[in-house]
Amino acid sequence: MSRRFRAPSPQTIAVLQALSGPHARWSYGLEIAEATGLASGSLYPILIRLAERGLLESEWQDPAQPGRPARHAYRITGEGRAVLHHALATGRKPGLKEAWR
Amino acid sequence: MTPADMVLYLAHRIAPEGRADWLNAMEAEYQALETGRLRWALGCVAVALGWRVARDGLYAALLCAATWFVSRDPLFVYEAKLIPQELLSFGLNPVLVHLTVICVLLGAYRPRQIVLVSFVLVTAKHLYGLYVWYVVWPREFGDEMGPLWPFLQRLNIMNAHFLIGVWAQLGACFTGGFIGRALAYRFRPSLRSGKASGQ
Repeated sequence: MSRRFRAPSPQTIAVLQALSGPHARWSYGLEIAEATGLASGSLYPILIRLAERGLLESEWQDPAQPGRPARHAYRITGEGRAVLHHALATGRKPGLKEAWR
Repeated sequence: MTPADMVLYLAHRIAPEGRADWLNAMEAEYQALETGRLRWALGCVAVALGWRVARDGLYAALLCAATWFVSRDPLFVYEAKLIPQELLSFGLNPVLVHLTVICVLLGAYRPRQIVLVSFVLVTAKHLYGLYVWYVVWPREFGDEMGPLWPFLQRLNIMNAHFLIGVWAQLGACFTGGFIGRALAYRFRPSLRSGKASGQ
């Protein structure tokens, strides 16, 4: 059964865009924050909401260097891509950091 | 421990248990940061506060409203503005009725916090009562009556002996709370299966 969501905010679209590169790779929170210009207090509620709605998936990844903590990584899902494409097609503007400068 | 570490620790203290995984995710990024840690940690606190308000905000508002309401009882009772004097008798004391009904509702909503809530309500009520007796009453009616005048004028089970009144009110809270808790466990299956931890 499909669920209906509110139209995503510009910040949400920016997060989905940051995750939707040509190769669906895993991204860390810091990378998404850097790409979108969102602060942690704004970024993580969006990530949580997207994850709960199945628009992105997350997993804990082992640290690249020993002694560092594991990091939580995020990847857009097919449903997330569909929502992003629909939002962009209907004229929602992504809230990229360039737009705020 | 840096100020940023302390702020992050505060975020962990604020966040509800169910969100620990996400806060750990934020902390992992915090550990990877070389600059701007304080700003990131402040964001963690903001997110944790949001979670806490979403989880407990309504309950806190209800508790504040209930505390305010029961704290107004001394004025209502002693000035008899809203409650007929005939009701001020043992067994029908409106203070006890108010507390019981309020605690039924609060106990049904958060069954596991009813003991704490009972003490909060009764303590707040008596603190406000002291304020009324020692500040409001002398200001309105003069010092010649003295702060204990309301006690002496309207002697009943609630003020014949101070401790009797306090214990009666705590008993009303506990009674109402446990009735509410029983109702909650009866009609909310998620509580019986232990899914609503902390509620």
